[in-house]
Amino acid sequence: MINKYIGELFKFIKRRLFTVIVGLLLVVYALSFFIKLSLPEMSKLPPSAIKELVFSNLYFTVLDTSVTPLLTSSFVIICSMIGIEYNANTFKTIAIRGTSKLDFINTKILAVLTFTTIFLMIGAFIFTILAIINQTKILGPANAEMPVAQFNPVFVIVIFFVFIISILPYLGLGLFLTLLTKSSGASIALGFVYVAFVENFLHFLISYLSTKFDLWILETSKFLLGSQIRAINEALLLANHSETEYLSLIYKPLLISVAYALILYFSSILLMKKRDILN
Amino acid sequence: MTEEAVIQVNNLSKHFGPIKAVNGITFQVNRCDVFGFLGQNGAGKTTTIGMLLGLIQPTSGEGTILGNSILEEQQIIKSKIGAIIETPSFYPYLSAIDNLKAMFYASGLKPDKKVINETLSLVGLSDRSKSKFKTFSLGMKQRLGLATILLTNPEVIFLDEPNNGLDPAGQKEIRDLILNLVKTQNKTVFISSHQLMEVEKICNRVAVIQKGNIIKTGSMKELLSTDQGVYMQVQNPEKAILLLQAKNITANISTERNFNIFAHATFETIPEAISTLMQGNCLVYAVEPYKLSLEELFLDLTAKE
Repeated sequence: MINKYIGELFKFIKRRLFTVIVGLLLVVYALSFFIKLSLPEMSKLPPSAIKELVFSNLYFTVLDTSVTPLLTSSFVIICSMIGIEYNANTFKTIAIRGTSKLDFINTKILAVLTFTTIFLMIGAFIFTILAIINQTKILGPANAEMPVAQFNPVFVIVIFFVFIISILPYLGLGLFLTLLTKSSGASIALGFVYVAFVENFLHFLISYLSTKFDLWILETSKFLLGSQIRAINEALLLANHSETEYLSLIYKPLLISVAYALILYFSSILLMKKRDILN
Repeated sequence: MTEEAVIQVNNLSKHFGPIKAVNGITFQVNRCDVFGFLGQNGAGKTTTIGMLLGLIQPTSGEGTILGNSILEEQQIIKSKIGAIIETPSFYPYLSAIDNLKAMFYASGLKPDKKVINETLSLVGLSDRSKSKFKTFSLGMKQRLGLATILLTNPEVIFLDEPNNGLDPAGQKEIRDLILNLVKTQNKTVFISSHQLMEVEKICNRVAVIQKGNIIKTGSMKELLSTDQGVYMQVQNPEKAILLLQAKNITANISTERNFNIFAHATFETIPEAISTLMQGNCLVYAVEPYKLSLEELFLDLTAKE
């Protein structure tokens, strides 16, 4: 299993898409930081407020902004990793070599999670470096500190895992859609249509029905896939105020996200089980 | 001495809705056999190989490869076999070396650079080892497919159209390579092919599949000896037929080229047939022994069906 997993990393690192995604992420990370920092209100703030912002709030809001590109890249990676096996007809080749249907799914998920973790760590590293440079510029070298230095390290690790878990349902969605359509292009398009239109339409429909007919269903909109990432990001902004408050807000959307991921994972396994590798 | 069955198939079927792609076939492949699996397009060849390799779930029936069930023990089977099904498929953006590395990883093994280089050299791809797969010709793709088979030293090799896209020299190289593997390393080879002349040169046993049913199976020698004889150009065909029949050699009028009779004589009885005609004052102008080719047998069998 470990060599099959390494094989997935090897195959993706050799692709041009890998370089494109890394390049785009680096640009987006840097841009999101500078855009937040150059907001007009920043220049009006006293140095102490800027310090607080750069240390905590800004750091988290930048991280919050980075979730979308991180999530999108994970979704695109899983879709393209599976899509190419169908497109190049290599699934049968690796199946003959001993890669089972379950290995096929699991090694790809593990590889994408590895890439996501690395991308997240690179993002956090870039933000940290940029935050320190900016603090030095604004507050002077004597006052520059590590962002999130005031937090318990365990809490920072918790936030890190929250990021990864919030991405899992989208990874599951990419997995399921690509296995269903056997095409990376179709699954990426379907995923985009679902998130951009279907989810928003459902949200609008539920809100409309609940207000128009005074129905209890308004609460159900909280269970939509897109609502989870929204709730997790909103909670993140409170993280620097109170760790307890953050944790009390985060557990529900996290549980729902895990449930979505598990449902999509087992649906994918069921779909593969019923399907012949060779057509 | 009983022969050791390496592949045993019992009543294996695959139905796609109302279509019976494979319909209860039974056959056996023995150790060191080069077994030819012949059939027209859509006869059920690839579906059968797919079921043997666990890529297609059989509707019913059972089979074993090296004593392991094709339904229950595919992981064990995969560690002992090598196969190319249809056109060899690899990652287009990877080089030949990287594709072989990926195949090692897919087998759950760490890539062995020495084995990779030796294998590429064996199939004549050393000079293109760093070229991307997408730049390869069909013949080079076939060679890379063979290289992946040889990587893990399998006991049984499945080849689906191994000569597809190869020039005559390439076909001979592959044929020699396969025969060498059988002779020196006791491999068993299962070949599905349309190229009947190549199959005739390489295989010792064959099975013919038509519309999902096996219509003929046996050793190449046994199948091709069923219809042998000799074409003759004689002075008086009617008299020649009577003379030969008196010696228990059946003969009939022929319109094949310049020959006027065909005698169902074995290679060993040709001199007897000629001397019978000469002694009966029937002059013989030309003689040409005839042996049924696999192509003729195949076309005859499939036409009957």
